[in-house]
Amino acid sequence: MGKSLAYRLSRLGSKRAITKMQSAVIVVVLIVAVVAAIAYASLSTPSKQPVTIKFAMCQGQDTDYVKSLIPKFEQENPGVKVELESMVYYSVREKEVMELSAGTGAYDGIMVDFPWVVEYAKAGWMLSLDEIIKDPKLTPPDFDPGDFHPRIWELNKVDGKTWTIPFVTGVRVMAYRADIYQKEGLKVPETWDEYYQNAKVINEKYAPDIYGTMIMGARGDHLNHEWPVFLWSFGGDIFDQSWKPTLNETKAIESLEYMKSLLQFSPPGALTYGWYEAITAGMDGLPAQMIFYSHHCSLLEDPSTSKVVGKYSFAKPPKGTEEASLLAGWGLGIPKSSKHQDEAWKFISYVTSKEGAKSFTLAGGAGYARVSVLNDPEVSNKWRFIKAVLDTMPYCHTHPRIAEWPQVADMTALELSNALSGKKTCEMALSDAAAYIELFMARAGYYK
Amino acid sequence: MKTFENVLIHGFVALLLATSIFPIAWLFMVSTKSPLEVFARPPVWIYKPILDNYYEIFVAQRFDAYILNSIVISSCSTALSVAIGSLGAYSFARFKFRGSRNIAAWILSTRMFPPIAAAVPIFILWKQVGLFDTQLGLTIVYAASNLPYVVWMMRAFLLEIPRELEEAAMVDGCTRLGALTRIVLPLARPGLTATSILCIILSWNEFLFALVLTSMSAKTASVAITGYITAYGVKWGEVGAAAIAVTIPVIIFGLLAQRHLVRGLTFGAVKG
Amino acid sequence: MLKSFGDKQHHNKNLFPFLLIVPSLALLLAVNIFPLIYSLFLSFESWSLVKPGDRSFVGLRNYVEVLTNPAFAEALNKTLIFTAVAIISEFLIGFALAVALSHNLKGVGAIRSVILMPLVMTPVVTGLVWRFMYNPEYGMINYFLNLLGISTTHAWLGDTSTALPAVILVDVWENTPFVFLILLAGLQALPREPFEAAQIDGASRWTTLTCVTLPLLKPAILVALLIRTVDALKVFDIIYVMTMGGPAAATETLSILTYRFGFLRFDMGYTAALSYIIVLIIVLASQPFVRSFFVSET
Repeated sequence: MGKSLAYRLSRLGSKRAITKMQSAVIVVVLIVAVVAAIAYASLSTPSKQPVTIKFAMCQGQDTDYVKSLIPKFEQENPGVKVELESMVYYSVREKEVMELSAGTGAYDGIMVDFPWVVEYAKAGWMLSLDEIIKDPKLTPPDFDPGDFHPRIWELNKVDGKTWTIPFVTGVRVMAYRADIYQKEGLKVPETWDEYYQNAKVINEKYAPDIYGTMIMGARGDHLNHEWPVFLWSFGGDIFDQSWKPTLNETKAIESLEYMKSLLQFSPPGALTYGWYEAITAGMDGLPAQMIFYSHHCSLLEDPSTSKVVGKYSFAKPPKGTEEASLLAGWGLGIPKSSKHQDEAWKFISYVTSKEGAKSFTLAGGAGYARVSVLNDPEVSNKWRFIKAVLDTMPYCHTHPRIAEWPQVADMTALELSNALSGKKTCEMALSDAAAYIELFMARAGYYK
Repeated sequence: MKTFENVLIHGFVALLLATSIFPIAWLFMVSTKSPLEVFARPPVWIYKPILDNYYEIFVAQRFDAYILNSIVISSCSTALSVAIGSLGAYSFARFKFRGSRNIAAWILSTRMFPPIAAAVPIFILWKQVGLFDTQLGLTIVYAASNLPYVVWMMRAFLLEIPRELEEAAMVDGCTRLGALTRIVLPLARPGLTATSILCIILSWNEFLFALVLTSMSAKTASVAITGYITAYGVKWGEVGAAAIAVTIPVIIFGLLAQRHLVRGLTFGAVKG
Repeated sequence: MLKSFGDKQHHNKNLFPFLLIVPSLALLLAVNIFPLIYSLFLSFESWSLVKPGDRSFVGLRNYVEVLTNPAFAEALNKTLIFTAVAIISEFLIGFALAVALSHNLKGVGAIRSVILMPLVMTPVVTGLVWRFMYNPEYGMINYFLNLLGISTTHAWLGDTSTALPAVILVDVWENTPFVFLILLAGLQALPREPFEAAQIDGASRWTTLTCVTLPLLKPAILVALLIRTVDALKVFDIIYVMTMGGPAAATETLSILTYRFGFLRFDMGYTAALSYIIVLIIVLASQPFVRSFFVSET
């Protein structure tokens, strides 16, 4: 009579089984440990060739495109292997700071969100790139750093030195369902009032299939990208000339009230929307109008992910008392502690070269930091949002370029979320934020 | 009435069993599904299983490197803590010296310590000593974390071995060391095995210290899995494959040691 | 004969046993005590990792800021709710299961093997599995609810009112086996006489349960309570993977809060102070149990 499975399972832990197993287990574990240790030791012995460079990258389509460039790069540069460590946003930040402050050289290249450039540069963790750009042995002759759009190039400089090369560029533009507009006889809104009216009309008629607009309402750093467009176009700002916070002033409060008022025309659950949910909603065509990052726009036009290819059109964001938008992005830089700085630079200059940037952009990436790419008819024919980027660029502000911004941003995001979720009034949330920020900036020595 | 009660009890137990198994079984299914099937609505129960996800993470993304780290760190830290802890356990089991009770209690209390509180100082210290992102660094931390378990579990096991046996051997001319190796050690083997298995499970499953103290070189499998959470959604097929790869070994180990698991986790207070 | 044996060893007696525990003490000193002391000094400093040159002594300022930060009270609140609800649920279910199985011993071994799985499964994996199960569109939870006739696409982890309960459920799933195993072992070790006496006295099942079983089980219950309380207060892995403290701090427990300040804000001094306060809370919370644990140990 065969022993049942249940019996066998229960006998697994019996004393006799243990007695039989004990020697086996101990021996196996010891052997495995020894073998593994030897294997690890031998694998980590540095070999002359090939050199492996490791990059810390933020997960996303842009990093995926870079990955696809690696085989060709390795072919053209025998002896260099490239490894990308692709992580979620807060992990990239955490790993970079931990690694840079420890200085162990684990990363040869890092993808740096523009707010962090100032921080890393001032902490002395980065290699300044001006010298290496001019080096003819390492930089291809047609690299042409002057080809980069000056406003974007500025984001990579601190104290007159260059620390990163623009890699991903994002401008907040307006995306709207041209088909819906046509059906309802609506015109492209040029002011926030018109935007509001359009949202109201569309929402009343089309919800829940299509909504008037969309706001990312979840707590997170994305709020620091969603709100400033409203803030600046209402004439407000985060700091004044002497770095005192002004985000508790009337214009700022008004802009937040306006943004909050758009929630009623947004998909339900907008208060749980972060980047992911917003992009998904866009690809489903849910919002009839939205302020959207240009570096996500290609996802709307990708037939493998988007249900609404061709339905969205793009333009500058509406204006309040002035026109404004947000320019942000990522750059690629080299930590001072990297042991393979030259090879890392070769890869960076390869990815951000004219052809690299162009093929990257044509494939759907946001490599249009270069003027040549922005003005290239092939690019603008494929991607209809490029024109909107060009139109919006003159009015773009950037986040405050101080080392303290990441910390300030964290505090701001918290209070913005409190206001949007109704926990505090807009006025209270912003004045709490201002109080906290002022204390923080004072400690950092800004008000001497 | 009795029958109805029996049915109720059996139903309750069956429900709990199903709830325990379902997530793991379903995880296994996800790991063998193609992306379309993973996101199919309604879910697909009958499908052709594929190994693409496993291929993707092991070959294309070198997940095996992280598993290797986990193996090395778990086994080395277990060996270290069992060796050190068993010595201490022997002392607590056989001798009563001044303060032994308090020291034993203190060792127990270190287990209560929240890892997050130690994470920041150890991170800074390890950075300065050059142990950041090294297998050795994590091994030392795990050995210390598991020490309370080893000491108390082995103490319970050693207390079961009558001391008369050693004393008889020593009277017959054995040194204490000889008595240890020839009498105690063989009898303590089941205890050592069970303790080792528990330590391996605890080290393998650990997350917080691994997250904070490793970067690219010494990253363990449990940290590597979280790398599949993207801003654009989670790659569930690959996560599933990685998750199965990470969790199957501990399930097997857990089954092997189940009789002693309870005793170990309760520091010998409750016999399983 | 034994007496002389003891005398011979007498002057070694105090040194040798102590030597045996030295390695353990050394290891714990390096990894436990030393960081603790270092952390204390750190908590009196103002130091951000991203400003390496800028360190200064600020006395108790960090402690004041930690305690006056509303986020701290919120995190404490969330942690206490989490702990209380999780433990009560785990004990109710675990006890029911243990009682149910202590009568029919048939198949207990196999059942234990299966029940063990949630307990030994890597917590990160547990968190990830449940994160998918809670997914509004593709998750199993909504699928089963829909099968039962409740039509829903609720975002369990994305809604501030359901996120914490959802996370608590996962902890219960993970740790009820632990409570069950301890209570089962306790039940199986109980002597028969009190039960036989109760039966002779004609006690009802409920009375037997409350007046005989539970008091006799006190040691086992205490052990399980102590360990589960401390572990629930420390919870980190599953929350990190499922919600990272969100949405809007609905699941931000003390550990997640500490992680945020230490590794996302890199404010080392502040985090050290916060860590100390948390240690204090946990030590205080576990005191009553530890004392009874040692009382019953004797």
